[in-house]
Amino acid sequence: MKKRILPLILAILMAVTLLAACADESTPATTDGDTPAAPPSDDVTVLTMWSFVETHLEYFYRAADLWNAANPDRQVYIDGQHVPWGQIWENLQMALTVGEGAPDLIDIEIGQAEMYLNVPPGHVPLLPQNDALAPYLPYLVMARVDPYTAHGNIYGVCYHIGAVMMFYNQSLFDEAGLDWREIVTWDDFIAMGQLMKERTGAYMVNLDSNLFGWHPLVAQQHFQYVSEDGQPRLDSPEAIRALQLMHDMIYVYEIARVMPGYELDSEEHYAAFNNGNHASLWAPAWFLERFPRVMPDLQGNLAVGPLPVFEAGNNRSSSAGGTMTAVTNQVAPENAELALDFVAFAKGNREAAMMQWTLLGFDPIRWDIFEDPAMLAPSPAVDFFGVEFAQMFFDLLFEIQAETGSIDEMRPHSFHIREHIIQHVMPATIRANDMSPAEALAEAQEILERELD
Amino acid sequence: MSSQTAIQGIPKRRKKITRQQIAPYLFVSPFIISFLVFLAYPLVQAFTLSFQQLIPFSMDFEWVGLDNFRRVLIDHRFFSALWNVARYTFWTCVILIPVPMFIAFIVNSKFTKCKSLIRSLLFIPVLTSTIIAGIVFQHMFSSEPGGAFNEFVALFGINPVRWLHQPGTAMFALVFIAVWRWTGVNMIYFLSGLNNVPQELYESAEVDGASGMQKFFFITTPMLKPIIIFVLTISITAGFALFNEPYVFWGTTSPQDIGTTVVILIYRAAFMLNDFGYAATLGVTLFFIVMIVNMLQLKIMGLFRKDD
Repeated sequence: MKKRILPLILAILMAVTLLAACADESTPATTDGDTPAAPPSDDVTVLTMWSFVETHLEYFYRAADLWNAANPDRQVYIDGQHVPWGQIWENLQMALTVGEGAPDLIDIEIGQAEMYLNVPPGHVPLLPQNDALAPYLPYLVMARVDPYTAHGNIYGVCYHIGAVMMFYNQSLFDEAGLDWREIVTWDDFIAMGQLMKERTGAYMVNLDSNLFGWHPLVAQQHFQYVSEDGQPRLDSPEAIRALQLMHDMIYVYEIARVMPGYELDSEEHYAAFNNGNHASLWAPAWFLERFPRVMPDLQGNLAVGPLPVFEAGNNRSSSAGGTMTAVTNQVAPENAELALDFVAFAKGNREAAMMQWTLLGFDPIRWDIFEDPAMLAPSPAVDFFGVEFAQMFFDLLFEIQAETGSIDEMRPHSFHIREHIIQHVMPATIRANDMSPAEALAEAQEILERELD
Repeated sequence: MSSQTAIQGIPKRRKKITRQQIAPYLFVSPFIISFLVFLAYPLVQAFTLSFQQLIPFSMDFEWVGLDNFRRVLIDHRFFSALWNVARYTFWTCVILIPVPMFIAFIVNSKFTKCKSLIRSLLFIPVLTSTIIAGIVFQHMFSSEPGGAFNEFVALFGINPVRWLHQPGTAMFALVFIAVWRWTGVNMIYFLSGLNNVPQELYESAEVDGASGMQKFFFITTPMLKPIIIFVLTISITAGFALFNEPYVFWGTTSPQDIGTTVVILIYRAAFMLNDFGYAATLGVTLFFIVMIVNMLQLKIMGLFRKDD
């Protein structure tokens, strides 16, 4: 009898294990469930949160402490989960499409945000934060709120401004006997770059061949290369002028080269800047966070200035990159108001916003704390870069507030157009000198017009 | 009347069904169930989806007729992708059939020593994760002078090559990984085929004075035809479904579309543009293309001939 039952059990076991994959799994696979130790009691509202950056979760745990201290009758506990990049977007997209499984709070990177915001009215799967944010809005840099606004509603706020700045390797300038403070225009930059290369052999700058190189140069001319109705405007003088400048730095003046690894965030580029192979780079301020981790030799040796301009009246900075924290429409109705108030507080409250610098090492989104002495107090960033740099950094942020442009990446077809530029225009003009910027942009314009018809 | 009697008769017969009769169905049930759930249902669903446009973040959709197929026809990336996978498939078939077959012939020869060692060494690559292997190869194909392949070509006085940024070298990189990875597996297929070739054929050929090469071309190759057809069929399917390696190398945005494949476009449409209707349409289109190519290949190899 046993012999007869055994095959049956085995067969059932096989079927069951095969089907186990279909079982309901409400939580995503995560690497670390690194939540604070305090166990929530009954009068504490638990809010779940996913982020692809562990320090963002840490930021929210501390923001919850600040909130709880100020709101004894509305306590929150953040149940955070770190979900790796890639997986987090797939999980979120599925959960929001099928209507279950999403967390209460979610970090959405700006490049992904279009998918959630650029949908017909009434279909945004997130809750508007307008009312909750109202008390903080007068103090926030609006360039960091606008990208996350759709159909008149604000769905989140960034962790930083991401103001694009010039970072200089001070010892290379000292060695060459040059003062970067004398640079005002791109012509000055090129002239000094030629001296730099002559005297030290180092390149003046390395160029990102993704979009962190080109976008700021377009935005500083107060131009959007995607029209409001989603049509490309790549053959415009502003777009061509920006790309031509980058092209000429490499192939005409020979003061620049493409970043090794081709983009800002590549191991090869970190090594090159760390080793003093180039004297400067332009990057969003959040790039500072990389230095202590991967470019340690530059400790205390970095200076910061505004972007040079084409002509008077241009923006001297532009914001780039970013991540908003949103409340999903799957938050329990009774917790929705608390979740919205808390998220707005976490980003907009003065003390909380300071952590954007002291904890995360980013340029904070509240302009009224730029000149606060607390920003110069010891923190990982101040310890690494030095008080003098921190002072220079916040003075600059204060100074360029009204001169920070940005490329609106939420317009219809923005994703498609950006992708085409990265794949076709940059490789042909910056990575290789196969086409002139005007030709490449005109060709891209023609193809995109046909496809987006 | 007679049918009613028959129906009434059934309950009596049902009792006679024994465990032995149920067992076979039970044993094949895992396959049947997984086939229905993971293959048949998604296939039908994909066909339906290809005529629909999903409303973002809802389960609603609208019928759009053939509009998604019209979009495929004007999508320049689709044709770049098709051209890429067609070339990739061509090269993998050209290399990954004769080479493993020859290696299998050598390994199978009675004069070869350390047979199991050679077999294991060639088989190891397929056990490594595609993603990890992809990342390692990505570093080896670095454009910097310190990349493994650039150090190698430097021995011949060649300047550093931008391997993953030019069409020809990018295809070389993809085919190189495929060869590294699949040679061992294909060799195993051919080895198992070789075991079925009757030894007498070789013996009588030897009596007739045939050389080793003659035996390979006039006995081994024709006798391995079924295996060749099998390997060719799976190579074509795998070639057109290429995704992992180019995704590790370039993500979904490769310079000038040198690493774009149809499956990468499907992934991009579904998970980056949230356009599941279009993703399904690309999938259905790929399905038909692979089907036609496989049919042609089987026809040319004479598999449909009755006498075979």
